[in-house]
Amino acid sequence: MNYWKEFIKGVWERNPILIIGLGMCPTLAVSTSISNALWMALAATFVLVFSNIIISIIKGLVPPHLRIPIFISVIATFVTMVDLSLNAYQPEVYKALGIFIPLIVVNCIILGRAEDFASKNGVVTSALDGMGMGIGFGLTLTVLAFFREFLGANKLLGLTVIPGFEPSSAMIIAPGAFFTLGLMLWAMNSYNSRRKG
Amino acid sequence: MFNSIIKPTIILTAVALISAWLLSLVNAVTAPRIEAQQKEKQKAALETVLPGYSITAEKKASSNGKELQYWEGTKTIDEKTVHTGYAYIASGQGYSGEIRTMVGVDDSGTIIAVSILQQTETPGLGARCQEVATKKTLIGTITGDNAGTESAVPWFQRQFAGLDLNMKIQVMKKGDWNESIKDELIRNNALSAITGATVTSRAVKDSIEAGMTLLRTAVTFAPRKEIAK
Repeated sequence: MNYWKEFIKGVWERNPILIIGLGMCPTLAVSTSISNALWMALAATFVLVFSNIIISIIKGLVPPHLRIPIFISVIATFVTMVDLSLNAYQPEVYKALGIFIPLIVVNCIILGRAEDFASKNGVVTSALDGMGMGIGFGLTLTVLAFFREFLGANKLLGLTVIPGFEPSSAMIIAPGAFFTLGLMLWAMNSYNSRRKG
Repeated sequence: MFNSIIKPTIILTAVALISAWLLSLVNAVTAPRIEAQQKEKQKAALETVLPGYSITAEKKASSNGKELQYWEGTKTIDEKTVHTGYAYIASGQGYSGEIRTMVGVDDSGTIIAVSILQQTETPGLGARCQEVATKKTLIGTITGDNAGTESAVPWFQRQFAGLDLNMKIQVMKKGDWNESIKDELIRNNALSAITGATVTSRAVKDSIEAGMTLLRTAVTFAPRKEIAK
């Protein structure tokens, strides 16, 4: 039961983007299409899970004042693995995501979870936490990308939805991402406060 | 002394060593594949920009300390006419990094085709310079109406074909390229910029023109006379 709670909190209750407010930069940047969002989510979840596992294993060996450089090294190692493997086996995706794969290193969700959770908890809960946070990140990204791809490019998964419908290019650029994210925050907060109140 | 300087140094060194060792393993597996893919890409790009030509030489042109790698190709039409074409790799600074483009030109200085080899532009904006336009629709996929094959050349790159490098190439804001604006663009020797990514569009255009300037130091082109207006 406790394990389930650690896992599921990242999806809604402690959603990394909508509640904690981390990782805005990749969120706004790669949510232009659903396929980009899904690959980004997969890459970030992989890094999150494995960096959380490694960091919770070595947490006893890390001197407190050295933790940031060590965490960053661990995260950077996994990100480089993802970067190299995507380049070798999924060149199309690698091409589409471009700079945002290497930038996972500085994604504050990952460092945030390392610092906030994995360095204080056991291996299993840390792995579950990483997975839940990754799914929460991925879901938010996908919902955001759904609206942006549909309204901004009249497409879903690269396929035209309504032939002849003129998409609004504002949705594809950063302001569109902010608007959509703002509306999502509004919807989530009003739902949460209604449920409580 | 030990606890404040030597121990942290040892720990950091160990972490760095383990990371480097792991990455060297991953790199050993992926490097040959990445290299093979890049060779393949270059070969495919050469075939795209010089279709039907057989590559006869790989050369280098240099001027003012800048170097340009280019290929020479010939295409035999009949016994008397042999067309010569050139391909070169243009490179320029885009919105967020280098954009490398393979360009094919014929002996009059007209672009045959271009192919963007490498870019790190913003996904969804500048990165659309490699996006393939598709008429396939979601409904069509569900009902199975998406029959037939479509051009696999990204629309942004396709519009370069037929542009004359003896004149300046104009950048117009016409939205996504399609058949209906083709004539107008060719008449103006122009290309249509990607919406929201004019910087990328201009960068590709500028790098192609700069590469051509370098190529002219090694190759003489014979412009078609008819364009004089």
